[in-house]
Amino acid sequence: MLKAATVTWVNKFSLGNGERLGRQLVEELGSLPDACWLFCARREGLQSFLKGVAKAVETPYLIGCTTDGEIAGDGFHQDSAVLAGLVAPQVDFHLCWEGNLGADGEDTGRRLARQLPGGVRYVQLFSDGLTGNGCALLRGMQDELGPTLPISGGTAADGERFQLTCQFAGNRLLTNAAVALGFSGDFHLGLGVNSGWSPVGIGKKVTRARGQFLYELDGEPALEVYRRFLGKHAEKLPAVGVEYPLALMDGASLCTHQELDYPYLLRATMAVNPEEGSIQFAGEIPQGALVHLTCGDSQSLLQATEIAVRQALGELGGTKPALAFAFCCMARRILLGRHTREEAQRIMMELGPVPLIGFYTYGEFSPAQQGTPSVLHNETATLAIIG
Amino acid sequence: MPERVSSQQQLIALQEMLSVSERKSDILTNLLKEASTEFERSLERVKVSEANFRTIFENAPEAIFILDRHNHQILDCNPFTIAWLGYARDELVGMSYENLVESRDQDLAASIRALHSQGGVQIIDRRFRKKDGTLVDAEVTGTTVTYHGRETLMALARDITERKRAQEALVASEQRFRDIAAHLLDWIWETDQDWVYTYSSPGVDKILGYSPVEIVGTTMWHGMPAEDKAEMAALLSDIMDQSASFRLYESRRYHRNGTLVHLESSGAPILDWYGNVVGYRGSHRDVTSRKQLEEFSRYKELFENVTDPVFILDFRGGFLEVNDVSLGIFGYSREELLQMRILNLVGPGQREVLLGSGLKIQAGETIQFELDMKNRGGDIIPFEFHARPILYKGREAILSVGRNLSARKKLEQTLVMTERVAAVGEMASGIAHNFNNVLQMIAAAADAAAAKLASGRMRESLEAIYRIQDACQRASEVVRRIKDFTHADLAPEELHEAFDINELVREAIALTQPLWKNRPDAPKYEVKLVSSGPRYVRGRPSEIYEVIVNLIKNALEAMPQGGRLTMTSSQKAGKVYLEVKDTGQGISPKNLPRLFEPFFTTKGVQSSGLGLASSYGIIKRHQGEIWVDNAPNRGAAFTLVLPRAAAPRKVEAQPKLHDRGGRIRFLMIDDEVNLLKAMEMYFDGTEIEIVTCSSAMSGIAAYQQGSFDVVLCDLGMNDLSGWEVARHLKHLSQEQGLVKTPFLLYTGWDQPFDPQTLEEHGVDRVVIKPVSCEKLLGLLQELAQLEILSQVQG
Repeated sequence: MLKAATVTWVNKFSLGNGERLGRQLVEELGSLPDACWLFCARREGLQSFLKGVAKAVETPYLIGCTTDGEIAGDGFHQDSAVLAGLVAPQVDFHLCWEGNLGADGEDTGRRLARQLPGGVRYVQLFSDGLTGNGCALLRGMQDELGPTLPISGGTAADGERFQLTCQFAGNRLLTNAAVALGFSGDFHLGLGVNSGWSPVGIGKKVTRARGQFLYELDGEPALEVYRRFLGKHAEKLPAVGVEYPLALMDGASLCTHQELDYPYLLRATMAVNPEEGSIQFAGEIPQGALVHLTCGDSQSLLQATEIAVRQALGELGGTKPALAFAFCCMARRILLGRHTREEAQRIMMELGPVPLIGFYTYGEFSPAQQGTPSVLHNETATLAIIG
Repeated sequence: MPERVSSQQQLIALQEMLSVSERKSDILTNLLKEASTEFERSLERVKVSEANFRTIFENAPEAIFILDRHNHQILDCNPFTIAWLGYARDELVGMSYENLVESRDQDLAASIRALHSQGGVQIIDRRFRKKDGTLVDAEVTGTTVTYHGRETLMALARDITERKRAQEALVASEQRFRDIAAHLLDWIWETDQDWVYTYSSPGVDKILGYSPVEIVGTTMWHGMPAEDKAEMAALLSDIMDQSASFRLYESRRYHRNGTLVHLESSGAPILDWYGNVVGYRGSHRDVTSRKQLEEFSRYKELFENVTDPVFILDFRGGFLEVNDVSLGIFGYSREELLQMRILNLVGPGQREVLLGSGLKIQAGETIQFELDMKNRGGDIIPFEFHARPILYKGREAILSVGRNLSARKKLEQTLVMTERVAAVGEMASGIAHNFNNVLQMIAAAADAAAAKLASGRMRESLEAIYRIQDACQRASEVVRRIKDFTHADLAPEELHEAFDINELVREAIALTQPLWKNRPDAPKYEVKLVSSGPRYVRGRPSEIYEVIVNLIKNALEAMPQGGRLTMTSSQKAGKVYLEVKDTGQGISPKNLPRLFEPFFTTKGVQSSGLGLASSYGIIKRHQGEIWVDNAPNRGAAFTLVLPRAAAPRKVEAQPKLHDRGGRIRFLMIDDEVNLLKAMEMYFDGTEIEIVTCSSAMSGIAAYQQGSFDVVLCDLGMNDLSGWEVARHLKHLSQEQGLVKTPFLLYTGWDQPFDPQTLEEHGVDRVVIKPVSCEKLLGLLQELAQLEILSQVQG
């Protein structure tokens, strides 16, 4: 029998306040949690705050990271902290972390995965969204865990500052790291993924790219192609590129070792290089991929979020959901703007009275479909529900 | 205020919305423009593609069907299809594809489904029915294609009817070929351009014992004897270069069991479509039996008709076949001989000769060699064999034909003896002549001695007596020479003494004097020896002497008008040279090569023609050489070259150990009274006290009565022989317990006496007649000294 609760803190971060928040959670739960999740803004006093929370909840299985906005059962927050706890006596949790993510994402993924015991059926992963290559990190983990073990989560964010992100493992405050929580035992899982962006225009072939950098489309400098698409609005790159993310039409297979049958993966622009004519994205762009520009609006985004929730609930089957996780791309927040709060509301409306926790990420980890390898998404709403 | 704020926020929101919408509109417009441009380009590409397609469609030399992907109705077809199948266009369009294809092709629907699901191109063979009912085979290529905007199927059909017929005919033909090849006794084969077998009929099993599978992949010269391979490979290379056929070429191969098989081969080139040679095809026939029969026929004639022993041996020397003559010679039955090896029949010391010959034959040589063999009775028979390697019943063997040399060797010996006899005859006349001279000298000198003695001229008498002594010495040398010559064959090897060749030359000059000196009608000859010292060689003096005499005679005959014959001996670097040079007519150059040939002569019937041949043989036996240096009309020079020997050791005279001071009691028994008187006269006045007896009995009696220091007894006497006397005296000494008196046996027979026989009879020494008194005196004194020594030593 699983039991969960979420609490929110909008005040100053300190040790004492951390403890208070933790005690609030315990009180809501009625017992000490078996596992906790903390998502918060990067603010002064974060380290002490974390220690306070950890001390209060008394569980070593405390995981989380910094965000670009927090989601909880009472909706969307910014510059706050949200804390969730799960009482799950029939579930075993396994917490691990690895540093030096920026040096070799695949190797970090392999080392991280090796710390997880056999029997783990689900992993939540939170990694540095500024220093790490999420695709590489996933590949490394899948080398050890296999391609079908579901991994969901997101890359840590730093609001709109893009300076430093943090990851939490117990009472440890990490950066340039990846932290993972493995689930084994008796539980059910439902996952949902959708974005709300649709391909427009004529597809183009990636004729030159390396990692997250796109150099050419159909033999033409990528930036030139974008400028042609965006016209006078191209001067707002990379920001405007977030509204019109690139869709990899070959599916998520291009980012993993496996073949997949998924409509498309989205990639958000992060930076441009006028000299090279190249564009950096928030995920890998495989050379040879077929790509489309995409277009969306707040309505399509919100509808997509609902679809994702329904998808996750559908995968759960008849199992009563205990705790829902929402990991949504910061690009959605930019596009949704004032309607960002609606996204959390739409989630809650679909979920019903199910404790909810989540955050706005720089990238999302989730399988495209049940049984398929987990991939790094951009600009996407991903849901994971434990029951 | 709150209303204004709310309105402001609404305004901001509206502005944001407008901004976003405008942006979106602009971007979508740009995308549409690009899409439109791209569309136009695509349309253009499609038009080009359509035009290209239409050109190919109308002009293709193959049938092209465009089919509805669902119901397989023919939507379109090209002109070739119409002509090929014999239908009109409007008959075909709308017809179901299945109606054209043979109903036996049940998998048509399945292949179309596969085409749909997998996409791509399918290639399959189909049989079409023409309008007139005939069936044609086609290779059909199916693919999906967009046709007039529709997803359709396109089928291209290539008529392969002729190709199929040709293939079937080829397969049938090949099968016929294989069927025939499988049952033929001959080995049918095919090779590629490198003469590697690509096919072999089962006939190879019967011929070589290998299966076709083992043969395929090997070369045509595989299994040949090594010495045949290079020639075969070169020949086949030429044949391939000329693209020629070949017939009845013979070659050999090793059967699996190791025997050799003879093959007769024929082959013809295999050509491709362009006329290039891609291999050969032919047959090998086993002709081993025929070859064996041919060889055996040859040998059979040899075996049956030749009068010499003929046998066939294996390389271990075992008899494989023998002729009747062999059985007669060796005294064994055929069954016995075929169980034996030739080693069982060779004479002593012949093993190495046999083994050496066998090795040469095994290396492929045809050789000739002499071999002593022994028959059943153990008699040694000299043979001369001709032997060569042959093939006998498929195996390598040796064919030997022998020639009995017994008669030839006897003839050789006879020839030698003939020459020897002739030489003896020559010598005898010379010796008789010498003896006459000597006797004449003795008679004259004796008369002179008597006359001078009567007249008191003692010194002159003594001189006459010295001349008599000289003559006797010369006569004894002549006798000795005769004995040397006649006993040459019996002399043991140990008597190969070292001798001075100059002495032989001097004797030869003396012996042949009658030929060149003091003849009333004789031309003037000058014969001399030139030498600066003794020249010692080793061998049989009598044989060398014979050679020298022969050369002297030849030289004299070459100078019928007289001339000079000079013999010069010298030595150098371990060799002794004796040159016999004349100033005669020389030797005709055309005769030079035949000089030493037996029976060759330029002197007509009076000459045996064996002189120089015999001389040559003698010199060769002495490890020497004989050269001829010829200047026609200015003489010839024959040079003997012999290995030099060390000078023989001089026998030192025994020093007198003691001056005895006493007399030597000497008993001489001989029935030659004159000799006894001569001895008495000689020893009168010396320390020798001689007692003579003219019979064996009187001698024994005298011995019993007296005591003597030495006894000399003649061997041949009328009453008892010297042997008997010796035995008697020995017995007497033993009876009386006395030391045996030295007993000398005196005889003219110069032959070896067995020491054991001498000892048994009590003979201490043999003295050969004649012996000079002086020598006899020395001998007596020596014996006396020995006796003193033995007494002193006790």
